[in-house]
Amino acid sequence: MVEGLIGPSAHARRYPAEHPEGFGSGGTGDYDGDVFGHGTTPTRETGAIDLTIAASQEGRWHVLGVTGELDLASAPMLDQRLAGLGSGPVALDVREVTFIDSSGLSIVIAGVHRARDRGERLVVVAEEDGPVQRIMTLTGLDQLIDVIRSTDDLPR
Amino acid sequence: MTTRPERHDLTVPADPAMGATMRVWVAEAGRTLGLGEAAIEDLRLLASELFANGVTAGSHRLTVTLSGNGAGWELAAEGVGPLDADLGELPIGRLDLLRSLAEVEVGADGTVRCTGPASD
Repeated sequence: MVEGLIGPSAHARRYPAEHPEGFGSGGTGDYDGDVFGHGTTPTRETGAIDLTIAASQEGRWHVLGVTGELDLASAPMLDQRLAGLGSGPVALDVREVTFIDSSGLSIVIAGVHRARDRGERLVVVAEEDGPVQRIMTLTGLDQLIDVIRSTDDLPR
Repeated sequence: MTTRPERHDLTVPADPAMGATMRVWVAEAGRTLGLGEAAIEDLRLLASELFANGVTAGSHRLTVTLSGNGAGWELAAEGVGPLDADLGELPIGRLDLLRSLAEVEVGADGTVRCTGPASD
């Protein structure tokens, strides 16, 4: 265990709004069954959903710019936005996504299939070395999803 | 990476909003162990997948333990539930995804142990 931090029986905190400072470092709160740990100190606010989605139009393309983390908690927000789009092709710009897991990726592929069912396209705008490209490669989805590097590359 | 054995653990409720907490924790624990950023990114994804599996499996809480020594790291998780479910429309299952990131063993008690080397 890290020197200077407290042991397993010493602390626990509730999350997040009540204790936005995080947990795990020298607190004296009683264990309440919610969060318990030792050895590290998360420094950012915990438990909050970190995702924003900005919609714009480029020619006939619906462009959704996604910023933040796509996981089990936040993925339904993207699903809702994709499902609510009108007719026309979709560019999903994920260059500002800082984390994505299979929950988020499932929404992306569902969006691709939804667009195809309408006779439209969904393309993903992703950095070559970003987290979205990485998990698409790990799962083999890079072979099934159209990926471009910039919205400047959208077909006109 | 440190050669002195270290161990960090965390228990969180199986609430989807706690996935971010899990990732922040594992990243900071990994840095404390002296792991590189590539290993930390693997740990963030591993922790998130284990957590999501636990939530969808109906667990009440998850306990994860990250330990390391000079040779490598181990992320152990309790409360994950069965790993045999597919991932919706994704072409691979959860266990396949985990195994693309680390060596994975599932114990008789359901504890999932993911291990990786010290170097990126």
